[in-house]
Amino acid sequence: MAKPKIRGDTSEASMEINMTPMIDVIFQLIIFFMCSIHFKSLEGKLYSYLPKDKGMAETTVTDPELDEVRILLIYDKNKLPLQTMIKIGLREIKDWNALSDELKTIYTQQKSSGAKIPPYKIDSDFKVPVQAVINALNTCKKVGIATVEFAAKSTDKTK
Amino acid sequence: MTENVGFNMTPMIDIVFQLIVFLMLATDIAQSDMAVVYLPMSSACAEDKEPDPDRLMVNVSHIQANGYADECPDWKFENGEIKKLCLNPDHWRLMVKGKTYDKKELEAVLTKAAALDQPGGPKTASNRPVMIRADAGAPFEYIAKILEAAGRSFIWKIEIGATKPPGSED
Repeated sequence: MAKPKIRGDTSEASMEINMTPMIDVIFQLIIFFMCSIHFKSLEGKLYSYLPKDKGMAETTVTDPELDEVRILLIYDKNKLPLQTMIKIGLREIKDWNALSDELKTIYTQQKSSGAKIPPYKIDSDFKVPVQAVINALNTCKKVGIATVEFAAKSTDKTK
Repeated sequence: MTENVGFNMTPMIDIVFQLIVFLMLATDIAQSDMAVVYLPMSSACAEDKEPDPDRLMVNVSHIQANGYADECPDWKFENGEIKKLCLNPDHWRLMVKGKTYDKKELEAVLTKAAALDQPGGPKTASNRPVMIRADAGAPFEYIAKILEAAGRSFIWKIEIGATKPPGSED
């Protein structure tokens, strides 16, 4: 004879979900997100819009502006780590801090004279690494020079 | 008397599916736009907020035979700083959406992209932005090539990818 069932029997097995694998997976997820988000937020950009009014098609400079400030980046094997020699016009500049000081002096002089600010041009050798060019651009931006141009040569002869 | 307590797999499967979907999306982005590059450091760079969805990315990246950067002895970075420069022209690639192009081909790609947003018709300025993601150690020649191709295809909105050095706040 079967025993009558009692409602609300306390001997009912407790059904606890094993949380361990879920927590494992969530930790994996957290680690993954931490890595990927760190990577993403670091990227920035430098606006370097090309002049709309010139150089859109192939043009040759027939009338070079004489009062421009030309920052030359010359490939030099012995100048580590960037293998780059910096020059403004004909003068050699020791390093990026010196370039910053030099540009500050030139820029404040030009500003106080009240004349139109001449263009600043970065003229880089093809072998110079991008980091050196960005350093030059960065220095100009920090000094407050708004328009910087890249002096362009045709790359047709290179591979 | 043993009671069969079935293990509830549902939440775990939910999460695993979420992961798979996320990874699929993430790898898609990685393959389509972003090649592996060490971006140059610049403390003056602006944050890349709300990028134009139509923006084209041109990568200048170093070849990596097995996905690792250590293959070429001349291409060396340590703590984000360049230690050695690789000047081998066979080691550098101009890439758009995971595909490699030479200068002529890149010009064709850019001209095609430019045509999609050229309010003044062909041979007038295009509003399509282009971002150059160049490796910090890449020779400037490759940027010059991209600028030249962009100029010829009437693209003028150029952005150069950079990264803020850690700890700089201005």
